[in-house]
Amino acid sequence: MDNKPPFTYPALYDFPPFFTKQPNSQTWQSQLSNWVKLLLAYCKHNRIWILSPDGTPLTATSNDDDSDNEEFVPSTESIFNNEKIQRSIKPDMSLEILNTMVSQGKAKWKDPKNHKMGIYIYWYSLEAWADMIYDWIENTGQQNSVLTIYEIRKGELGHNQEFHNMDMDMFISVLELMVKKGQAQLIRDEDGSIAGIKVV
Amino acid sequence: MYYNSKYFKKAELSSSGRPVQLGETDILIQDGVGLYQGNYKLITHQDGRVYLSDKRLVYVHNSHITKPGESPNLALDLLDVDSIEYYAGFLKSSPKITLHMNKLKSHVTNVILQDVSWACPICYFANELPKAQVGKIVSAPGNASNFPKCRTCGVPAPAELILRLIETSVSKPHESHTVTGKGFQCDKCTFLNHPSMTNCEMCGHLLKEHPGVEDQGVNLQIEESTDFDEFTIKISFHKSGSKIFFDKLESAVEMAKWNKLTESDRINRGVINDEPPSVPQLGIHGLQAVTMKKNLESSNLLNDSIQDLENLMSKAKQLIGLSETYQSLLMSSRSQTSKIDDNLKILKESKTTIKILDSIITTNEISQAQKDKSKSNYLWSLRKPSVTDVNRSGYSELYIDELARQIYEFIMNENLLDRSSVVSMYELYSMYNTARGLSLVSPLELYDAVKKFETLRFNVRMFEIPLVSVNLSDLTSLSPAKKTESRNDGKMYVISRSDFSSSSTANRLLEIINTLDGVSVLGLQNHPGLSMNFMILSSMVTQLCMDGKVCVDIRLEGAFFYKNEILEFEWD
Repeated sequence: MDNKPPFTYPALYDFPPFFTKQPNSQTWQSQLSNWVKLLLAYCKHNRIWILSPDGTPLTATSNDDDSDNEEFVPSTESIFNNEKIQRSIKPDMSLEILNTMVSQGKAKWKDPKNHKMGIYIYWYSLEAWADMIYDWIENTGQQNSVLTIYEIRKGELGHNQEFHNMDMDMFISVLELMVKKGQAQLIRDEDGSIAGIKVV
Repeated sequence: MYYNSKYFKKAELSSSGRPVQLGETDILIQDGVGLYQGNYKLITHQDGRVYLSDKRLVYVHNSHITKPGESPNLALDLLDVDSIEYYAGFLKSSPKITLHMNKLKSHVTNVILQDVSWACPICYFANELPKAQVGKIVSAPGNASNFPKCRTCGVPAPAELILRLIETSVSKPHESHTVTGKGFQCDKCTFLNHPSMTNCEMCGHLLKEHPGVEDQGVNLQIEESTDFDEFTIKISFHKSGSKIFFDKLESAVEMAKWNKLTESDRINRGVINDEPPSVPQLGIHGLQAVTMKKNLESSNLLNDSIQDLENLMSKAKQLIGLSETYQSLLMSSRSQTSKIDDNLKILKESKTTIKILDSIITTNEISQAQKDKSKSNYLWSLRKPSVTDVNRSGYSELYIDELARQIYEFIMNENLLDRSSVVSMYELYSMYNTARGLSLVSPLELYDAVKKFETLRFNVRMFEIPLVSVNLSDLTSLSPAKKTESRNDGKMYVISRSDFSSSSTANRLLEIINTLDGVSVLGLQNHPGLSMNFMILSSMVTQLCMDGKVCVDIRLEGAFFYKNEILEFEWD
């Protein structure tokens, strides 16, 4: 993953008015949807799970049990700032974009009351993630066996999967969705935290 | 019934519907006027306004008829008026002014009298016969006492010789305008216009009427009658103001006659002729006296010309001196010495030249200002509020109409609309009042007058342009709901040609923006063909932006406008 080609920005990214909120509502809607697409593509390409409100990627948070995040060095570059044409989005505009994503179910504030904690960017929807994990387990013949969370997220077998190294909190929400759909059972240890799952 | 009147001439109108002024000043204008020939109405001339100038009386239709050949606007020479009478009106009949015309005119129409010189058949002395005497002979050819005698030998001139001379001098054809082919050639730009045009299609310059028509009088339609009085013309006043008009007309007629006399030097001439000459006019003495007088005249003339020449020479010397200093400067430009000295010299010289130029310009300006002043003076007299038709600004309809015509002429003469396609009312107001200098118009008057442009069918009109006075940088940071609330739907009044529409201008603006890669309003203003008021331009661009036709980029330097690439962008 280290020698991945850099993200290719769309031509619109170099268009100065793209960084100013357009007064015409139709243009603004188009601008907004292009920003949403850009953010999703950018995060997917760079495997960014959490974005700070100012557009820089955030690392896995402290409650992650394995903060030995070896591959990911957070860059300070913000998607909302285009150095090449010297333009950046004003905070209120970026907030509007992120809120739009939340309302569309493409993102979720980690803490709605404290935006600084960051925002999950769902470049696949939770449903899609759940299906993807389910398919993978099915394809690799691991049904009805108990898997630890670590095995799925960091295991050798899932190394090439897109959900590899997924953010912990996000991963748990995916698992919870699977349970709800009846695809999996959670196995908790004595203090209530999730120890593993069993896909049925 | 049609008849041909010798007194009325076709009056040419400027494009604003005012009579073209031929070196005259307007004194008064009166609305609601009808014309009578004798006791009968001129059918087509019953609703118009009359302009009284110091030379003419001009009737102009109120309905602004522009078709050629169809009941022309009429002008009456004040010099043809013999006497005038006032009738105050009774019950249903309106007040009238009766003009008794000069009877002489109908016999010797349009004869331009000239001095005639005749050679004495006895001594071959070249005698001069002054204009006044020619007139006398023409009016009464039978009276032998009118015929001159030779100034040297005293032999009376043979009558048939004099009459023949007068005839040839009078019947000299009038120099005509260039009329080639089917069209009228414009004096200004030489474009050949269709005969029905009143103004040049290319430059808007007023076209002279067909010269052939000028002298023939006009055919007028009169109420059915056989015995109308050719020499009486009546002006009927359907509205008030007849008394004032009568007073002004009376003095104007007198002044016109007086001016005519002074112009043709007849007053002084009369004085000289009346004095009995101390030197006998006959024989050798007479010859001597004539030569002496001639010598004196020519020496006077020479003196004058020598003085002029001297003035010219001194000017020329100054110029030569100036050019020499320039030359020396050019020569010594390589050697730096004495350069400052030269510069100082040149500065000094230039100063005097500039002074001369300055004085020329000021005199020019003064004469211009005087003209404007006289124009506005008579307009001022109309300003009195009338009870019947009060406008928004409280002035009579007639005043506003006339003001509108003047403003229109002002716009045309100053070529305001050539420099920029749109002129705001603010600009027009300040420019017009600056030109007037004195007795300024109020904004309301101007507004009323400009609003009249449409009803007067000028090709210039007032438009309302919605003024988007929202700050774009505010707008872009507001939520859409708030945005609509804060929109200020102000209006701005602008003057432009009738074919102007804000949408077509906006389209052109859009085209220009689309070809450029980011442009500010200032940049647009510098673009050729878009030179218009900054406020209007910025308002239009903002409107385009609000409509989503263009995109805006707010930088530190301000707002820059781009082609809307966001809306049509396709993600690949």
